Amino acid sequence: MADTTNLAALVARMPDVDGAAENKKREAKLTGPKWGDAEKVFDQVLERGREAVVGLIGMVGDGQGPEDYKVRYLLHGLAVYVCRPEKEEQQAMFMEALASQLGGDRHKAVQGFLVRELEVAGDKRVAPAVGKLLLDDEVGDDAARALLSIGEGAAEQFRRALPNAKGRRRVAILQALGVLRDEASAGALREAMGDGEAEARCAAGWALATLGDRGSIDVLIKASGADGYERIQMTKACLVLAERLLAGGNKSEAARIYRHLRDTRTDKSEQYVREAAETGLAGAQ
Amino acid sequence: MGGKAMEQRRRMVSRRGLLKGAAGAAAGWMIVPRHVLGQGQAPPSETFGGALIGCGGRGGGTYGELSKELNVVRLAECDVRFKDRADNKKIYTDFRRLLDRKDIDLVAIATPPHWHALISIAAAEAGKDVLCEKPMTRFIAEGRAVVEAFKRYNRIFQVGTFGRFGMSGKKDNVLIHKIMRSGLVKDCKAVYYQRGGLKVKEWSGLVNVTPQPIPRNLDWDMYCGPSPLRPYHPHRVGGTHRGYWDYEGGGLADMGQHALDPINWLYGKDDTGPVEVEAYAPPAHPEATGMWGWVKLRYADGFQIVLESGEWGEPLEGIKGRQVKLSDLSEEDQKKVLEMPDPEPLRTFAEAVKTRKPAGGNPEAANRTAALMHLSNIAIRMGRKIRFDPVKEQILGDDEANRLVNQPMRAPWHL
Repeated sequence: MADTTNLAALVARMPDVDGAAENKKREAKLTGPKWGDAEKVFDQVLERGREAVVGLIGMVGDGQGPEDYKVRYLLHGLAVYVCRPEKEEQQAMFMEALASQLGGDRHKAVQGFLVRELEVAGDKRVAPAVGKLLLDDEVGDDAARALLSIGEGAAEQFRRALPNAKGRRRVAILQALGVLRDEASAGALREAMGDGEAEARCAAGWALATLGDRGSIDVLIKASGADGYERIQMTKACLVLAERLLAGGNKSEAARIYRHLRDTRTDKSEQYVREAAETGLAGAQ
Repeated sequence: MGGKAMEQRRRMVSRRGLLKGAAGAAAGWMIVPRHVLGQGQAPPSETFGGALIGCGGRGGGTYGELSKELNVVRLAECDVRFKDRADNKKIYTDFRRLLDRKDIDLVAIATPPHWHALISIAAAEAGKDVLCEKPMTRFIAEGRAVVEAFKRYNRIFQVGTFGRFGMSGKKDNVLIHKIMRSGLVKDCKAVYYQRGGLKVKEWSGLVNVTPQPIPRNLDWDMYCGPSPLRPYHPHRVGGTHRGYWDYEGGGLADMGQHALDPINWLYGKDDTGPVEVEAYAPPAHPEATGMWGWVKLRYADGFQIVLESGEWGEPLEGIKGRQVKLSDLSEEDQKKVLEMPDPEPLRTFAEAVKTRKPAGGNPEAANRTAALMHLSNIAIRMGRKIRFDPVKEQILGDDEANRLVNQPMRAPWHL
C-alpha cells in the first residue's frame, strides 16, 4: 500500500480555498497554483506509480462533505496532465488505476467521480470497465458520457447493455448508439421504434435518422404521424434522415420523405414543415 | 437518482403527458397567429404570440428585446422553479409543452446557457423564432446544431447581445470590415487586446460545498437537463451558475460574447475561427470555473485576439492593440477595397421576423463568437496550446481536448 503520509503531504500541497486562513469552514472559491508548481506534485505522484494513484483514490470521500476538494483537484489535475503527448505510459497507468477501482462496494459518488475523470483521460482500454456501469441508476449517466467521450470501443458496450436496459437507462443507450452512429445497432433501434415509452421511441428515431439508415424510411414516416411533442421529434428525424440520404447521393429516397411531409403537413400550423420539405425536395430533384 | 425523483420524471414525460400538449390557453386573445397566414405575410394586426422560457434575472430584459418594435402578446412563461404553480396553460415547467402551442410564434430564452442550444433548436422544430440570451452555447458543437436547425426550418434566431449593431453603424468600422473581408490582407498585424472586464473571480465557482436539500418549487432534474445531475447546491442556480462548467464557462464565457461579438463583426470573422489558442492559467478544477491570466487566439491570416483577465498571474508584457489599416495594403489593393460595396446593414430581430431574412446576430455569427470563448476555456482547462480547424470545427492532434468541443449530454437530451 502506498505511503499515505507522503500522499497526504502531496495532497496538502494543493492550494487552500480562498480565505481559508480567516474561516476554515466557509464554502469558497479556489485560486489554483501555476502549472509549474502543480507539475512538481503531479510528477511525484506519477513517479510512485499505480500504488500512489490508488492511494489517492482511497482518500476521496463520498462527496457529501467539503473536506476532500484537494485530493479531487489533484486527481483531476493528474487526469489532464497525463493526456499530454509525451505521457502515454503515465496515461495508461493512470486510467488503469482508476478503472480498477470501479465496481464493488466503493461509494457510488466516488465511482462517479472516477468515471468522470476517465471521461477526461480514458480510452478504449477502459471501455469494458466503464461499460459495466451503464445500467446503474446512480452512475449510469456518467458511464454513458465517459464512453461517448472515449468513442472507440464504446458502441460495443452500449449494444451489450441494451437488452437489459429499462427506463431512463434504455433511453440513454438508444441515444448513445445514435451519437456514435453505430450501424450495427440499426436493427435494435428499429425494434425500439415500437417501445411503449415515447422518450425511447424518440431516441431511437433520432438515432436511426442520424445513422442515415435507408431501411428506416418507412418506420420513421409512419412515426411522424404521432401527436404533440413526439410528432415534432419524428418530423425532425424524417428531415434529418432525408438530409443524410441526400448527402449520400440517395436522392429518390430523400425525395420520398420530403414528399410525404409536404403532402401531410396541410394544417396551417405546420406550414413551416411543409416549406422545409419543399426546400429539401427542390434539392433532391 | 432516487425513486421519488424518478417517478416524478416518469409522470412528467409520460407519453400521455407529452401528447396532450398544451391546449389552447389563448382562446380569449384576439390575435391572428402568424402561422395561419403563412410565410412572408404579416398578420393584419401584426401581432405575435410570445413566450419566455427562463424567468430569472435576465428574463424580463430578454423578453423586452424580443418584443422591441413588434406587437407581441405574452401568452406563456416557463421556468423550472414554477413547480408549485405550473398550470400548463400560462405557467409551465416543461418547455416542450409550451412549444407545442400553436398560438406562440416568438420565444425568448433566458435560461442558464446549458439549455440555450437545446431549447433554441426545439423552438425552431416547433416553428418558432427565437431571441436567446448569451452566451449562445455551452460548447462548440451546440452552435453548429443551432445553425443547422434554424436553416432546416427557416426560422429566425438572434443572440442576446447587440454591440455589433452599434459597431457596424460607424463608417470607420465599415472600412475595417471591408479590408478584412477583401482577402487582400496577408500577414495581418491587427491585434484586439482587452484587459479586464471579464468578471473572472466574480463568476467562478465554489469547490468545497456541502449538498443541500432541493427547494420544493425547483425541478432540479429539469434544471440540470443535459448536464450531469449533481447534488443540489444553491450556488449552482440563479446567476452564480456561471461558475460551473456544467452550465456555463465563468465570466469569460458570459461576458465574452458581449466583448467579442462586435469584434468578430469588425474583423470579418463571422464565418471562421482561430487556428491556434494558448492560455496562461492554473490547472482547472473539474467542476468549478476558476482563475486565468490570459488567452491568445490567432487566426490563419495573422489576426490575434488577446484577452488578459488582470486578476491572476503576472501582467502580459509587450502586448498592444493594433487596428488594421488601409495603409497595410498596396495602393492597388487599397483601391479595390474602396470600390467594394458596403456590407448590408445588420437586421434587428424585429426586421428579421418581418422580412424572414437573417438577423444581425444570426446563428452562424453567434456560434463563431461563442467558439472563441469555448476555445479559450478549452485551452485553460487542458493547460496546453491547442490547434483548431475552423472549417471542420475540430481540435487537431489532441483527442482529449477535442472531447470538450462536443460534450455528451444526459439523456433524453441530445443535439
